Amino acid sequence: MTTASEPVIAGERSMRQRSRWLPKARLVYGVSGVVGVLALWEVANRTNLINPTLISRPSDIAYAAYQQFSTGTIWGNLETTLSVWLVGFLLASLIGIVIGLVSGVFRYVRYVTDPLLNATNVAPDLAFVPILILWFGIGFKFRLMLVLFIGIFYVAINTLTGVKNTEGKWLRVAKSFGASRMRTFRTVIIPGSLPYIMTGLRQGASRCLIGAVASEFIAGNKGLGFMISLAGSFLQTSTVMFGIVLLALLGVILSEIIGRLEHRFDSWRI
Amino acid sequence: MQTLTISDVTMIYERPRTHERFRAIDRVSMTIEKSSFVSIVGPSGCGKSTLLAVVDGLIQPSSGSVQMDGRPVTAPGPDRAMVFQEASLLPWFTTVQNCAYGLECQGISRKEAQQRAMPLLEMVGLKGFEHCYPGELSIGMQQRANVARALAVDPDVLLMDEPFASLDAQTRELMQSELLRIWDQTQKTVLFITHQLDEAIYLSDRVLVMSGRPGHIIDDVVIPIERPRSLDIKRTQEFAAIEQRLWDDLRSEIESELAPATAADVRS
Repeated sequence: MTTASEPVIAGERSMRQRSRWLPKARLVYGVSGVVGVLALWEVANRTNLINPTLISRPSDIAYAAYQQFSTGTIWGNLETTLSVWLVGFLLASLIGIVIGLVSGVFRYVRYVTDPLLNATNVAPDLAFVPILILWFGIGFKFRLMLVLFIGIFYVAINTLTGVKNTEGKWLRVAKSFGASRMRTFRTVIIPGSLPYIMTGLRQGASRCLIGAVASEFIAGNKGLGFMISLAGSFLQTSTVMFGIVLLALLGVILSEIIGRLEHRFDSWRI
Repeated sequence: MQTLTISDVTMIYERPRTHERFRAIDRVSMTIEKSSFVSIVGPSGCGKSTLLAVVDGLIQPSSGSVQMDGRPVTAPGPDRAMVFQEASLLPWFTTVQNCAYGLECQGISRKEAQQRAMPLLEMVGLKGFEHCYPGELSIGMQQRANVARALAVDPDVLLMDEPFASLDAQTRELMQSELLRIWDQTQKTVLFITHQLDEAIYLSDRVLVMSGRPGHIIDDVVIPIERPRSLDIKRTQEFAAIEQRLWDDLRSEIESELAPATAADVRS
């Protein structure tokens, strides 16, 4: 065996050096892409290639953001949207995981829930809005229910898929060693379906955000969705676009948080 | 004296699409003495693994029975432990957690189970890798852990389902002699399934040859080679003669397997 102190001839590059540069390259190219598009957009706007009333300039959006934050009006809206999102998403996760697990484990429950879940899932969620209003009015309860309703199927269906896809060889191991049903559930089915559950949570989180904004379009007097729709009707395009940017940012942050959680749960996945 | 008796075990499956019934194994009988090492060889798809699953109690035979010392086997039990083919370690458990799994299933506390698993990990040569996840181990090391997991429950019979099939030739030879060392130390009864003739001869006291589907026993060869055996015996005349005999047994089976399916395949 040769030792690590192998002489390096000029021009020879080890694989490690190259891979250390790659993440930086991703960042540099990614940022320049965004900056480039923003610059083009600004220029196109200033040269009247694009009508500024229809699409505001990046600088206007930045100004709208500055105003919103400096006057503090944004915080109330943010709080309204995030709180209904958080409560709705937590409920959707909890109920969705339970429905998914129970349907996955008990075949006869699955025969009942499978068609229901699929039918409700393929039907456009927003078509249910009139019924939800009829049942829950147009207050917080309605908004919460819409968020819950939109998110729950993603969590439930992904969890169910996870349980169904638990590999037979692992179940056979549990059976061979005489594991009880409860132990099999705890040591094989739950960890085996965890990757699917996390995917469901991630999809559910972003669906719930859509639900939160949509519910404020329909009913509400506060929140980011309300802010966007109000600004839109007053032709304040820059505020609308600021709202969009903020929501995009929120989406990224939320999915990043869940991604980190996911990583904590499956450190064994190499 | 704990003996494993398999009497007239037949397994009939139904093809899901066509509902045709076919025989996977046909009236297989054998008696395995305590502390002996018995291998079953046969062409792929002859039902060797099915037979092992029946012995473990994972599946019920269509007819016939398996008995441990006269008591019928109907479900998996602590007197038998299976060493599955590759990648059957639970990937979310560390090596020691995996090895303690069988004991925990028997109701032993986690702490005690892990304490009892430790010496077995040392026996299979995994000292220092107790807290690695299976994904961090080589396939050879995973199979060592697999053996330790089965040994941890201290079974009377070790059922091994082609445990070295996915190892490279060098690692396989190494694992074979390690297995003989462990078998010698523990005095377990081993029922070993393989399609490697030299592996079966080198390890076993007795090699049973199974035919192609429907699998039944067509030859029963006692291996008279003295123990302890070194890997060098694989190059002796005696070894070659036994290998030749097994190969003669199997040749016609494998050739008929390659021929187009006949009505015999689908008779119920």
